[in-house]
Amino acid sequence: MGGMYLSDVVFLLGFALAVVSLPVFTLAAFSLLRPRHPESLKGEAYESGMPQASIPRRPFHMAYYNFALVFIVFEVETLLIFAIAPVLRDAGWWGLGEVASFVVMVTLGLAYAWRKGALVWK
Amino acid sequence: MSHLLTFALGLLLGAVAFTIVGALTAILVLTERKVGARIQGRVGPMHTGPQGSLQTIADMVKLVMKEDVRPARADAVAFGLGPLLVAVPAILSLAVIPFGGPLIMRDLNVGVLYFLAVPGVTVVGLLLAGWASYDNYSFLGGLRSSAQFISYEIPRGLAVVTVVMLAGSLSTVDLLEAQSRVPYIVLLPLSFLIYAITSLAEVNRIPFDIPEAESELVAGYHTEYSGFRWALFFLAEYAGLFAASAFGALLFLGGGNGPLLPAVVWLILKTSALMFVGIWIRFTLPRFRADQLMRLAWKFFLPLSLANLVLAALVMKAVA
Repeated sequence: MGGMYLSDVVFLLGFALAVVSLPVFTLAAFSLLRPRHPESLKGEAYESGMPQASIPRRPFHMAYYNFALVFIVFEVETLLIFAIAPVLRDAGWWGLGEVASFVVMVTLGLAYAWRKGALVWK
Repeated sequence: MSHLLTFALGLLLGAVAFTIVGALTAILVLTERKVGARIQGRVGPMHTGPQGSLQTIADMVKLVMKEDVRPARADAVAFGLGPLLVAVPAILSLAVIPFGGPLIMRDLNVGVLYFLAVPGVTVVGLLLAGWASYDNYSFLGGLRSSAQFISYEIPRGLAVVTVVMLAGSLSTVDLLEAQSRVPYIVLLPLSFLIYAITSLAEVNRIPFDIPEAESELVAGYHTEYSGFRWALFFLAEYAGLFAASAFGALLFLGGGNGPLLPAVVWLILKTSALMFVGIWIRFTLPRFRADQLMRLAWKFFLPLSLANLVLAALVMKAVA
């Protein structure tokens, strides 16, 4: 099991290295062929032809934070269910009940967030 | 097999995967334009090659030869990393798709989890690309896109987990064997529907293409990108469409299982059918508004997928 795991990781490292380096290589190689005419106007950000109205480094809406928080709760829930899902078949009604109680508890969290208005996008 | 050999095999298959995705994108872009033209009563591209068949090849050549423009105030490192972090995970996820028989790049014992986890990195790329461009449209597009991405990831994960419950394994090859008699779409039709719809949101396609809503955000997070860097975003979109369709075919339609024809043909047929539906939807439905999109994810799909979890548990008990 351990050795198999290690060889999977080694394989994926090679796989990822190839997939990352090929686009980088392509981009670098074609820099020899493609034109390069820098000009001050080209460096401007596109804003439908107008000068930039505001600086894009600014605070953004609070709603994103709310959704990120709820996301973490449910993503972790999904992950934990993934951990038990393959053996759930053989876990019997007792095991199923345990997982169900976990799901119900997290669902209560969703109900709470819903009632508090955290799921409203403005 | 020694680790060095395994590493070399990984390198080789990585290059193969990248090439496949490149060729696939060329085919899919043309198919999408032709199908879209047919649906809308047009003819689509006609000039390059017979019936316009070489149009995407010409476009690809044009794209790599285009000047690489970067806004002066953009963050150079993040600007370069953005498209890479979007394209690479989409291609990496192909590693665990079994194309029939020995045709799988790597049968990981956590293949299903890998397939869901690796494309999750995309969200970092979207945020980086949007933030680094130093452009208001890009910034908003990146934010909205990541909000959409994470919202739809949860119902999607919960739909996939029901299949894992029934199959009793996280290996994609075992999933295939588990469906040798009945494909899971029969047992878990609701899971399939949730998976199919949320997958469209995951690959940013209409009706979920909020980040690229042209009428309000120009081109969202990739407004400032041009040439090959821009092409990487497109590569990612089509790689994502293919991977999501192939995985959907594998999870719910029995993958390569089928009579007479070889497994790889069956998988390609089923994947193509799903991709066709994706293209069809693109030219049929209008786009959701940002708030409708979030409401749909959190107030409809999430409760639905939680209920589906209970339903799947009962199905599992009934089958066992």
